[in-house]
Amino acid sequence: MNGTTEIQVGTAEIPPEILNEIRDVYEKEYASVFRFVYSRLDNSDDAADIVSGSFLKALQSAGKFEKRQGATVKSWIYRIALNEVLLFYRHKKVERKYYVEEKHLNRILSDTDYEEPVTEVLKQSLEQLSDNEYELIQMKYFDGLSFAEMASVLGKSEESLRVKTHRIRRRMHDAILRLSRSKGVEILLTISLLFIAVL
Amino acid sequence: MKAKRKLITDRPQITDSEIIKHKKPFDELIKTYNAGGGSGSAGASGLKALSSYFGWGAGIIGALAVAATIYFSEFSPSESPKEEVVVQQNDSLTLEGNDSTTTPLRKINPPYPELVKYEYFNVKNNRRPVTITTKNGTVIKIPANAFVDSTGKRIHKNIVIKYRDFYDPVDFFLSGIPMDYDSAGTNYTFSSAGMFEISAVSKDKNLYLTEGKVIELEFVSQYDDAYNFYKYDTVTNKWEFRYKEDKSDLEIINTDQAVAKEETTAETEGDSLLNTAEETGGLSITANDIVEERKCENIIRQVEKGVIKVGDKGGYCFPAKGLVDEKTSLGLIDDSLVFKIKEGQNFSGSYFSVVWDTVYLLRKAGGDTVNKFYIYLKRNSAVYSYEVEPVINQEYYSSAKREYRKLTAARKARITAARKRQKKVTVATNSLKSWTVRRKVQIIDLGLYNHDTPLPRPLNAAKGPVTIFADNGKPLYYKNIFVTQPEKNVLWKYDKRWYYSSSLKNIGWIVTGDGKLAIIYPENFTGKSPGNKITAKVYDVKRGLAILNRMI
Repeated sequence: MNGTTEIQVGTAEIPPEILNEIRDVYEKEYASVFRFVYSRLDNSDDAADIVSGSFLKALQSAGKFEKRQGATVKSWIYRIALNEVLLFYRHKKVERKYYVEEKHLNRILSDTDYEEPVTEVLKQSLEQLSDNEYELIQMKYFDGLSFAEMASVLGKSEESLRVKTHRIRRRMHDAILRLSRSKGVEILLTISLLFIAVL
Repeated sequence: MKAKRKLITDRPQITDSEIIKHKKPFDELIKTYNAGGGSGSAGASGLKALSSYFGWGAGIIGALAVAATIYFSEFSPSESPKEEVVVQQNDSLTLEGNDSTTTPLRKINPPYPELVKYEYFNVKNNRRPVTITTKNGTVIKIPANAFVDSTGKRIHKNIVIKYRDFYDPVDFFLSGIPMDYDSAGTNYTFSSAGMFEISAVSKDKNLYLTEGKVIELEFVSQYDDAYNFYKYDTVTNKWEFRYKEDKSDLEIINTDQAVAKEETTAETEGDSLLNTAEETGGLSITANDIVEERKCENIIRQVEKGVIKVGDKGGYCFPAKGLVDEKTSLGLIDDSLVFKIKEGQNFSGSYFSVVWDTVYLLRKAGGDTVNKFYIYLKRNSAVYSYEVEPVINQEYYSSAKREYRKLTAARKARITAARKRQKKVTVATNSLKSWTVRRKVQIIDLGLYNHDTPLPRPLNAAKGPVTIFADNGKPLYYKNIFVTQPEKNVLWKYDKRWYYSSSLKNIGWIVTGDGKLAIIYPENFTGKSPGNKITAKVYDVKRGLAILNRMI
């Protein structure tokens, strides 16, 4: 066995078809993955680190990736990225932040009629959701993932995610009505007090 | 109501061109993956991020795994529920040079995370000291008020101790724990006398050992030499030397050289203790079984059915699970064969609470119709023998014995294999492994510890070819190759160039691209393969591990 020819291992340990798919996602979906991460972080440098780290992890674990129940390399990388963000926050021990474009907020309520703009109360109700509930809303309405993609990222069935999302929205709707009402009462009280003071 | 997160809506949108500025060519990422060095590469920045996540104190990785598991419990993937933990607990990034003698930076990275098992012990109240005995027999003594949380608050209640240990190359392989040790710029690999990891959590939070508190362990081991003691530093991902053991740290479990000689002879001849006993017409059980016997003692009066003699407090039980008394006319208590000590002998009731090294039951021909039975109890150099009377119908004894033998044959085979493999004289415990010493250890923080001796690369090393072929001729994809020599309790893990001993028996294996185990048998190292080829036989994981366990 001595004197054998050495062959560079290179990427030999990554199954070629998986390597190609990772490359494909990197080339075509980098911006989407970046936005997905960036919307959960303060700055773009941290986001870039996490995105690179996520692809590296995908390369390292490529041998273990199995396509089951609709799992794709793309959704797998989203999942790694999501875990990385979670680790980031746990390490930093700071409050979790999400960055959402205001115009996108109303996507959640697109099929519901409100007479008044509800942006502020909508924000409040989103801030009250549990982490898992919020992630569903974030992925669906702000990251723009389909239920099928979410199911693959989160490892849940599409059906259960639909039901959960529906319930969250219904709860938010009720909360918004309550918050709006109490806000309305507050405004009414303020006006009344001002009126009395003027008199 | 307090907000659970901050939602910010006034940050300017990031443009595609700004994103693209961060994007490096994919080949740079691959380069980082392969060589792990390229400064300024995308991969390097990813590496920076990764190292920042994991650059914490000892035990934090484990805590992350627990916390992340709980966080994702609702979202955990149904098809592979542990995968979330895999990514977080076991992520690794290998920084390697051009030769395996340079110092690699590795993190704990088990090849099959689903096979990583811990023992869990619930400590309901730590206001008092707690003693834990693990499955293998290691004793952990935890002082009172031992734990605090990350804020320094003392935690007394609902503490879960997580423990696992590792003893042989297959254990090391499955753990994914790096066994490299760098000394003065030279890379060694540990030859281990046993490794353990201990951590504590309470209500999902990682706990720490209170300053000034010491946990004492009596760690069972198969090696009675003094080794070095190391702790794994999760910040640098390196083993840190703590101290060199003194011989006084080792408590020998079995010093009975006479028994040792006898048992070793039996093993050398291919006979187990059980076989030896059988030749004289009797049955043998190990100390492990006596624990069951003690359970029988209190219910011995229940034996009434189909027996000619009823046991009393002198009765002695032999485990015989699965035997049906109607079928065999045996006297059974709690699924055990029962004998009693014949009256008029100086038998102490306290013997029931002794864990004997060995118990023999011997039968001697006693004339035309009557056989005599004797029980022999051995512990260290002490041997006691008593005549006993079976509480079964003697005419059925032979068939009962055959059935008993059949039922215990598998167990016997495992014990025999374990003893042959280790060639050690031991006390049998609940596990298949056998222990010769208890190593006394004191630790002042939780984490991963190792009793080791660093070994250099195998002497007379031969360089292995990079390409390994399956027995069907196809090349196998792999990342690491593992090589061990059964004579040494060491696991060599190579990334790129690999070596094996040209003078010793080698066993090698790889994890294939599709997650199977490919084993390179000792004969395939001998240069019989044509040209540059080395072949491995591919197995599913369970079967592959069983084969490795048998060979090592």
